[in-house]
Amino acid sequence: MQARDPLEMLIEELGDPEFQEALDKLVALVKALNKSGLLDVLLAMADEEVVSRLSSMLMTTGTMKLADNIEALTRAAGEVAQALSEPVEPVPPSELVYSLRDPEVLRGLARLLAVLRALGRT
Amino acid sequence: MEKILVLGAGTGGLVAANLLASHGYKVTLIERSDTHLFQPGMLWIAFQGHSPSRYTRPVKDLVRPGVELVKGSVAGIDLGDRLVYLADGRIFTYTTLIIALGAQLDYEAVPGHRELVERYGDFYSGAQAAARMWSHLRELVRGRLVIAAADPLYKCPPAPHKAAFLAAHTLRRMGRLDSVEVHLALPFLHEYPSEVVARIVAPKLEEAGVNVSTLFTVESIDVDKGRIYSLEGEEIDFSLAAVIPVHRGPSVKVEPGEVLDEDGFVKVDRYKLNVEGYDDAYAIGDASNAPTSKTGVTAHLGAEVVVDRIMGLDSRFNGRTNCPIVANGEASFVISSYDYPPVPVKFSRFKRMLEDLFIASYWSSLKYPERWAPIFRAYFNATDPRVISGGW
Ligand SMILES: Cc1cc2nc3c(=O)[nH]c(=O)nc-3n(C[C@H](O)[C@H](O)[C@H](O)COP(=O)(O)OP(=O)(O)OC[C@H]3O[C@@H](n4cnc5c(N)ncnc54)[C@H](O)[C@@H]3O)c2cc1C
Repeated sequence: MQARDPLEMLIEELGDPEFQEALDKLVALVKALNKSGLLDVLLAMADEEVVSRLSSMLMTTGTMKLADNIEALTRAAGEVAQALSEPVEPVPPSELVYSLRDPEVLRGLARLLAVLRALGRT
Repeated sequence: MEKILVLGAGTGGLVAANLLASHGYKVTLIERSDTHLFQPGMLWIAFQGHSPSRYTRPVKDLVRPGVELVKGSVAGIDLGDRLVYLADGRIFTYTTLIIALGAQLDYEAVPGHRELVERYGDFYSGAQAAARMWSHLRELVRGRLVIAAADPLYKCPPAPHKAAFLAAHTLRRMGRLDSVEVHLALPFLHEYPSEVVARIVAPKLEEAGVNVSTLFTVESIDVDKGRIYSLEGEEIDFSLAAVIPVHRGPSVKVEPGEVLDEDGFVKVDRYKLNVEGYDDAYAIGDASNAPTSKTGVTAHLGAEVVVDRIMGLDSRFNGRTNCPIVANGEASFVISSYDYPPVPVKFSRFKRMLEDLFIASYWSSLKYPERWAPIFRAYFNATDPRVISGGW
């Protein structure tokens, strides 16, 4: 296969209406970014030290663990939020012990203990 | 006048050469191939039918100004006289040498192996071989796909697991997992060399419908019969098979020969990565005998250490690994270092997204390693096996 002349390929590309349209949009985007001042922000952020500080702040052991468990966390938060929206009657102390027969309450209690243990580690 | 010579434009060599160029050094980089292959891509080509062009780039597009790229095949290195010989007779001198020639794959060590790879392809010997494997997998309607290894030492320890996960996923989507068995035959005691990792991977393999044999090291292959024999005295029949070949050090004559270990890997100081007995020559990545996994991450981090040392800093390599295990929609990483065995890292969708980001950043991180260094550093610090020893 004969290697093609890069200049020839470029000229062909320039004639493609799809390319023209994409280029127009790109120019419009860059202009809009410039006008809003965002381009200046991005340029300032593209500095090695800023990137370094930003990444070491965003990527910590804590955030990596948090992100890894985000699904479990949001699922739990969703359940809690729903439970909060449902009406409840105050539980008299004498009946508290009956609630402890509920397996869901027992599991929740075990979770709470695990959370307390984790808090104790920090 | 300083003359830095880098041998091999794989992961380690490109990172080293481009990083040195970014600090203003003049570097000569010698590579025999015109194209660089993102090696993990072979898995996606072979088992998910991706196009090889997605994972290959011309080497010349991956080097920065300041790096002089020489096309040629290195035949010999004389460490005493600081000379590098090419197969075509050219001779190069250096003041500092970085050997990044990778590992050599030996398809002759196991009888029948050459014939197997020529017929069916595999996911180690190149993009074309991977495409050949895909063309056979696509046609496989019933029988058994075997993924095995001829030796426990090979690059990217979870690669066969990834192969099995991806193949099972593809077969399931084609509705053929009931008639095609995916069988992973591993040369280890458990489903992974580290028991901690094995305990996490084993249930995922089962979930994916992959059958596993342990303590199965391929000794010979009868391609016509479709049978693989193991060193341990077992055998297994296949309709299609990929066997990871025996790995050896680079196929280059090195003087003095004592700097090579018995498999031909270059003996280095595991922390400073200089060739044993020489302070003007280094070996990084798969070519070295550093006692850690042979992976792109290790080659990349090793290149950073060597460049620091050339610049007069006392950086040390800690043997950090971060091998991804990709399963269906999820991933885990094998995270370890010289001082810490692999920690328990559970599969998650977030880690799969991280792996997708690592893959997306590959070409850019080869060419502009100094731009990615702070981001990678933050990630490696956050996930240091010492701080996440309890698990991630
Ligand atoms: C299927 C598969 C999956 C993988 N998955 C991962 C992963 O997910 N993560 C990860 O980190 N790693 C992974 N790896 C491993 C990773 O690709 C390698 O460890 C990495 O490429 C090693 O880099 P290197 O620079 O040491 O060697 P290489 O990248 O192999 O480069 C060596 C270079 O030297 C050149 N060369 C060799 N001999 C000569 C000679 N005589 N003269 C001139 N040039 C020569 C070669 O052409 C090549 O360009 C995977 C590997 C495979 C096969």
